[in-house]
Amino acid sequence: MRARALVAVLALFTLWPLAGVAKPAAEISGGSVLFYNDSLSIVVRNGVTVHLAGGVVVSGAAAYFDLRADRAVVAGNAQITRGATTLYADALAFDLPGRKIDVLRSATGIALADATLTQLQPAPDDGNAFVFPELADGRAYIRARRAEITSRTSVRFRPAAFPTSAGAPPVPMYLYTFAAGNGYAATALAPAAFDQPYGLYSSPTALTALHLRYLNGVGPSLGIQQNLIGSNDGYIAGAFDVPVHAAIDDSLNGYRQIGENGTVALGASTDDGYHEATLGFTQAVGTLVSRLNYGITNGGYSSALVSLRTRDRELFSGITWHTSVNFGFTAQDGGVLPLAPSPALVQTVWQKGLEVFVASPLVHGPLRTTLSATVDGTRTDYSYPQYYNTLETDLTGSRRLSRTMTLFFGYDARWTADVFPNNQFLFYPPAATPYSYAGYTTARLANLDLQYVQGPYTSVRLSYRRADDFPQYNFYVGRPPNEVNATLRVRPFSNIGISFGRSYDFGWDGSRWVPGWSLSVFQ
Amino acid sequence: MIAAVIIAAALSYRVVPLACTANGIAISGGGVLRISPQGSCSGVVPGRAIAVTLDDETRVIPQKPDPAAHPASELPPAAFSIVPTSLAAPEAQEVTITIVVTIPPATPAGSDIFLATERSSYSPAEIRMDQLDARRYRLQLPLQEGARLAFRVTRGTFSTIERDAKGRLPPPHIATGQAGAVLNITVEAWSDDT
Repeated sequence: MRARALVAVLALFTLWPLAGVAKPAAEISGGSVLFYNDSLSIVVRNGVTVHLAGGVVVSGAAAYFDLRADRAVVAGNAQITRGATTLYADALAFDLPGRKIDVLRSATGIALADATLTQLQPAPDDGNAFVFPELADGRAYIRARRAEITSRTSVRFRPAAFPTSAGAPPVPMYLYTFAAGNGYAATALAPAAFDQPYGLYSSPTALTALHLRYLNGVGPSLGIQQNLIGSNDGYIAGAFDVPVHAAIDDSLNGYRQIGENGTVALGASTDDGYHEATLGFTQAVGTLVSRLNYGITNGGYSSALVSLRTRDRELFSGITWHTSVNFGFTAQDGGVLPLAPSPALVQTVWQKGLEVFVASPLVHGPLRTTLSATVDGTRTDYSYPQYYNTLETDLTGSRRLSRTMTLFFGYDARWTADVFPNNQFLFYPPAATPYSYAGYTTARLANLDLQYVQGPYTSVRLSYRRADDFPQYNFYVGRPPNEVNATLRVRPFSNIGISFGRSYDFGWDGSRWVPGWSLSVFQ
Repeated sequence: MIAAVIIAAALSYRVVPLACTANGIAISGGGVLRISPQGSCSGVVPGRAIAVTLDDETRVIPQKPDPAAHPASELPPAAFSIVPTSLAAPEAQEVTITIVVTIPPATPAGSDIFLATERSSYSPAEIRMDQLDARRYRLQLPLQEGARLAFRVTRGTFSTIERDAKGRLPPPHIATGQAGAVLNITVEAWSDDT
C-alpha cells in the first residue's frame, strides 16, 4: 500500500502541468494557417498577424515559418511595429522571437534593421532569409486559424482540422510536438495496441499529453502522461493509465546521463495491486560497460545484479565476440525456492554468471544467399547450490528474389540445463504427466519467411515455423510444432498505419489447427 | 543574341512572389524582377507560385501557374533589378533516400526494426524497415528535396530504443532529402541489453 501511495504521489508530482507556463515565441493568426509536418513548416495565407515574444507585431499578406530553423518570412504589404515605431516593407524576414530582422523593399533591396527599427543597413547577401517555398494547400497536415510556436519544441493550433487524415475529427486545440530531446519520446505507459497522443501543454522542458489507448485484453483506456526533460541527457516520465473497466495503472520512469560515460535509470509502477520499483546504472569503463540493476516488489521480492560486459570485438576474419560476467542476488520473503526442504531457510540466493557470445560476419553462400551465425553460451552458479547452463546457436540466411521480395530461412537451437546437485528429483520430480522433465530442455526452431515490401509503408510477411522442442506439449510447454503466419502492414492514411496478422498453429492436442490473429494500429 | 532573346521570351519561369509593386516583383530568395508594362500585379498573390514570361526587354510578365515552367534559377540576370543572392528551388521536389541500419549481432532473432521520426513525435513503431539480411535493414523513404528528418531506431517500443556503445541514449539521426542519398547507421546497443 505504501509503495502504491509513493508511486501515485510521484506520478502526481510529475503530472503537474509545468509545461503550461512556457510563453510562445510567436503567436500567429491569419485567414488560413497551414501546417506541413513533413517539412515542419507553416504557411499563412489571406492575411497574417504575428505577435512576437518581445512585444513586436508583424503583419502582411502571407507568411512562411520554418520551425526547424526558427525563422519566418512575412510577405506583401509587410509591416513591423515595436512600440511606437513601425517599419513598412514588401517583405520581412526574421528569426524567432525577432532579434534579427531583414527588410526587403523592391526599390532599394535588402537591409538589416536594428533593434529599434530606426536604422537600416544594406544587407544584399541576406537573400536566403527570404526563401518562401511553394507548398500546396492540399498537402497540409493541419489547417487552423491561429498557432502558437514554442521555439524548437511545439506548435499549438486553434482550432485544428486534419484535411489529409482520414477520420480525424477537428478539435478546438491541437499541440504538435517536434522537439528532438530524448525525453519527449520517453513513455511511462505500457505498450498498447493503439495509442494516439493528444498534447495538452509543452515547453522546452516539459510535455503533458493525453493518450487515447486500446489495450489488448483490457479494452479502451485513457492515459495521462507528463514528461519533464533536461536537454538531451535526462527525463522523467510519469503516467496514469485508466482503463475504462479495470484498475488504474500508474508508472514512473526516469533517465539521466551521468558525465560522459554513465547513466542512471529509475522506474516504478503499480498494476492491480502489484507494485514494483527498479533502479539501474550503467558506466562505460574503457571498452567495458558495467551495469547495476536493482528491483523490488511489494510481494517481498528483490534482486540485484552487477554485470560487466565487453563491447563486440573482432576475433578474426570478421568474427566478433563479447563476454560478460555478473554477480548478484535474488531474495524472496518466505523463500526463493518453494520446493526446497526448508524454503524459509533459503530467502536469499546469490549468483555469479558468465556469458560468451560469438557472431560470424555476413558471408555469401551458395545460390546468392547471405548467411550469418551466432553462438551464445551462459553459465550461472547459485549459492543454493544450483547451476544453470544455456547454449544457443542460430543460423540465418536470406536471398533477395527481386527488388521487392526477399526469402529468409533460419535454424535456431537452444539447450538448457537447470541442475540441483544431489537434489534434482526434488525440483524436477518424476510425474505421470506427459510434460514432466528432469531439468534439461531442448528447443529447435526452423523458419522460412517470404517478405514483400512495396514502398516504406506496405509490407507482407509470410512465415512458416517448425518447432521441435523438449518438452513440447499442448499449450503447457514448448511451442506449436507447426505455425503459419501472415502479417500485412499498410498505411492507408497519412495518420494511421495498420498491422494485421493471421496465424494458424498446427498439431496441438490433435487439433488440425488453432487460428489466431493480431491487430495493431499505429501513428 | 537576338535568338537567345527570342528563346527566352518563349519560356516561362516559376517564381514565388513576395510582393508586387510598380517597382517590380520581389520574389522568394530576395531578388526583385523588373515588371513589363504589358504585365500587372493583379492576380499576383504573395506566397503563391506564378509563372512569368519575358518581354523583349527581358522584363517579366506575370502569368497563371504553368507546370512546364522552368525554375526561377534559370531566369536571366537581366530580368532582375535586384539580383538575388539565392534562388533556392521554391518548390521542393520529392526525392527518395535510402536508410540502411546495421543491428548488433546479439539482437534477438526475428526482431522487427522500426524508425521513429519527428513526424509522429517519435512514435516507436512508426515505420517498419525492410529486412535485407540477418543484420541489415533498409528503408527507402520519400522526402522533400533539401528537407531534414530526425529519427531514431527502435525494436518497436521505447524500452527497446537504440543506445550508443556506452549505454547512453544518443541524439536522433538526421536524414536529408538528397536524391539517391544513402545513410548508413550502425546501432551499437539496445535499451534492453543486459
